[in-house]
This record gives sequence, C-alpha cells and structure tokens, in this order.
Amino acid sequence: MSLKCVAVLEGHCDRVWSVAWNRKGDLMASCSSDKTIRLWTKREDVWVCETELSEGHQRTIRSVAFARFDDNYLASCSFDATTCIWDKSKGNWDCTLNLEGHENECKSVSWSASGRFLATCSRDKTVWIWERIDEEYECASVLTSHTQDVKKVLWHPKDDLLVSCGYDNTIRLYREEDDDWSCYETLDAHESTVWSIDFNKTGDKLASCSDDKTVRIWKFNGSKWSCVCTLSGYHQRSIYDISWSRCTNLIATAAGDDRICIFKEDETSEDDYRLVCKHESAHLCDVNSVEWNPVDSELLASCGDDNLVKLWRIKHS
Amino acid sequence: MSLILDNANPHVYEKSNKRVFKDDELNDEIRDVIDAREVFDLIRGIKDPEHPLTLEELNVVEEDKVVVDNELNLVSIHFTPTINHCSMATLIGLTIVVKLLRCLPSRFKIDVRITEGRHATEEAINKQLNDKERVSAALENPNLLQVINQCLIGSL
Repeated sequence: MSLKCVAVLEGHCDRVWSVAWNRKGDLMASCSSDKTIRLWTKREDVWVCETELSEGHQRTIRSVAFARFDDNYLASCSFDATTCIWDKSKGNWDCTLNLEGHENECKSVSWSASGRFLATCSRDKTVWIWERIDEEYECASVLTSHTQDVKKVLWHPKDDLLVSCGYDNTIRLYREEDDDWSCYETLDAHESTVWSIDFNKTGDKLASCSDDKTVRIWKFNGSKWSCVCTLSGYHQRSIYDISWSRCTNLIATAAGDDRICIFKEDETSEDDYRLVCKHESAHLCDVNSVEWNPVDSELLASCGDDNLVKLWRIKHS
Repeated sequence: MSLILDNANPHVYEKSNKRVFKDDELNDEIRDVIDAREVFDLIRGIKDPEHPLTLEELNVVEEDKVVVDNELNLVSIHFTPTINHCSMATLIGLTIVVKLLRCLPSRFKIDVRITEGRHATEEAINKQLNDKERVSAALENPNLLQVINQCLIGSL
C-alpha cells in the first residue's frame, strides 16, 4: 500500500495545527498559528479554499471540530483560552458564541455524537463539559483528574462517554452518573505525553499516540480497558496525531519525523496490527494532524509545520 | 525577575577564538554542510538572563555539547546550568531554542536538553523544552518574548 499526494493546499501563513472533516466529507477545516480557520472544498475537481474565518480568536487556533449531528456547526479552540462556535444555518459561517472559562491555552474541542455535549480541555489541567440547551451552552462539569496540561478530548462514536489525554502521560475516561460527571478509569501505560486518541468505528477499541514514539491499542472487555498492542519503532520522534478510519479500519499516524504511517489490523489474529505504509517526508516539517475522510474511504487529510494542508489517496499495490 | 541572584558569583570561563575558515569553506564552488562550530557560534553569544555575561563565558554552552547530523537534519544541544537548582534553566533553554529556530533552516529538528545530571528538575525541564506546543504558546507571550529577545541581542 502507498499514499499518493492528490492536493497541496496553500494559504495558511504559519504552522497548521489541525484538520477536520465534516460529516458528509465534502468540507474540510484547517486551523493555524496564523489565527485563521480555512474551509476547503472540491469545485470542478479542484480543492479550493471556500472560506477563511479570521475573526474569532486572538491567538493560535489549536483545533477545530465539526458537529457530528449537523454540518452547520463548527467549533474552534485557541491559545487565547476561548472556544468559538461557528454557525452556518443562516448562510454564512458566523461566530455566534464564544465560550470562556479556561484559565489558559485551550488545546482541543470535541462534540458528542448525540449533539447534547461539547468538551474542551486546556493547559490549566481541566476538562470542561458543556451542555447544549436551546443554542446556548452551559458548563455541566469541570473535571480536574489530570495533573498536567490536557492535550486532547474526544467523545465516544455512539455514547455520551468522554476520553482525554495529556502531558501527565495518562488517558482518562469519564461518564455521567446521577447527574454528575466523573473519571471512572485511567490508562497509564505511555511513558510520555499522550498527544492524541481515536476510537474505532464501534467504539470498543481506542488507539493512542505519544511522545514516547509508540502507538497503543486499547480494548474494552465489557468492564475495563486494557492495552492489547503496542506499536513501536515506526516513528523516530513524537507522534502528534492518530486517526482510525470508520470506513476501512486503517489507522494513520502523524509525527515529528515528517512521516505518515498507516497500520492495519491483522486478518488472522485480532489484536495484532502491522505497518502497511510508511510515507517519508509527507511534509517538509513535523506533521501535526491526520484525519480520514468519513465517506471517501481512501482519502486522508494532513497538515504540518510547513504551513501546508495535504490530501492523500491510498494506492493498493 | 528576582532581585536575589541564584548564583551571585559565577565562575567566568574564557571565550573561544574566532572561527578560522579553511580554504574549502571560503570556496563558493563547494557546498559545505552546517557544522557544530557554526551552530555553537549562533548560541555562544546569548546573554545570561541574570548576569552581563554570555552563555559561553558561564560555560553553560560548549562546542563539544553541540551535535549536528546533516543526514538526519538533527541539531542536538546539551546545556549546563551554572548551579543545579537554577531557576532560570527553562528560560535559558527556551532562549537557545528560539535562537536556533530563527537561524537554522526549517528542515532541522532541534533538541535542546540539560546536560545529564546537572539540574535538580532536569527531566521536567527537558519535557517542557521538547513540547513544541507549549514552546509555541510561550512564545506568544509578549513579556516572555521580550525577555528572550533581550538575551539574544548581540548574539551574532
């Protein structure tokens, strides 16, 4: 298997931190240290920047996420400690809400599948759960389990179950019990910062990537999560992002060694994963984020410190 | 910055001589790679945040603690705080990082770490300096950036 670059999207004038697809897979958002969000779409077979959102944040925009219940909503969070909600239901993308509360840099934002919740996390070591009530967002909980900078939050693909990871090397899982959110499990096998996590399609497996240069696969056995596989030796520097395809079950990783790697579950033994593609120099500098298109099963988006967003297509050999 | 210095009377070391260029290096026909001495020259003139002395004069940076790998595009620096509980260690490391980010071609990966065993919280400082997200956020802080720029004035 190999990756072929099918589009190089220029426009950002500083490092690009994150890419995200909408639910239909026809719109991609990227965000950057240049304080803008760019929305990319395909017009007559060419990928173009449809919109640039430059009002909203005062500092680096660290991550973006489309709502999973409605493609008219986008959330972005920034080093300026705020989260913006962008709404397209009236025609243009407008920043309709600005969620404040974190003490410093906001690192990640995620919508729950139900659309009822939004989660944000920050260097202030907290994870906030916001409840959406009539187009307004109320803080439902402030979770303080992490002892350090929280790098990423992610909701389960089906349930209102939240996962976070960070600088304290741990992954933590949260759920609501009797109207109160709490951390009910901590996964602490990584030896350094856990940069990112992603669930498989059904949500019974979780992949994590870390500054310790490994990827770990976790499996839920009905009562607990346990690490069933550790992939090491494939990246030489910090692994910044991981994306588990809901279409093909392939796992893509982005790292500080400029590589994108793709792993596949072994057909013969379930908990074994093997490298099926290693693409060197995917970007000229660190690759910060990767995300599989949710509909077009062979399309992957990436972005990097070289200010570029790239689109890749899988080629089966 | 505190008025009480961590290390009020640091030992002052001699500066190295000016780089002597070899004939090959002066020949424009020959493409020469970036070497450790070149990288050392970029950082040796950085000022200490507390003393009117350079990192070289305080022996915080040394040429033989600079490693350049042109094949793998790696630059690795170990720096030695003057005392092992120096509260300025993170700031000094960050200043070295900023200098190299500004001066080296972007293809280089830069690793700045404390010389092994030379600081009480070495591991925590190394982790912070190695976290590019936190470095990037720190550099968006105008007050911190001003302090760093002060240290960099006159450093080649």
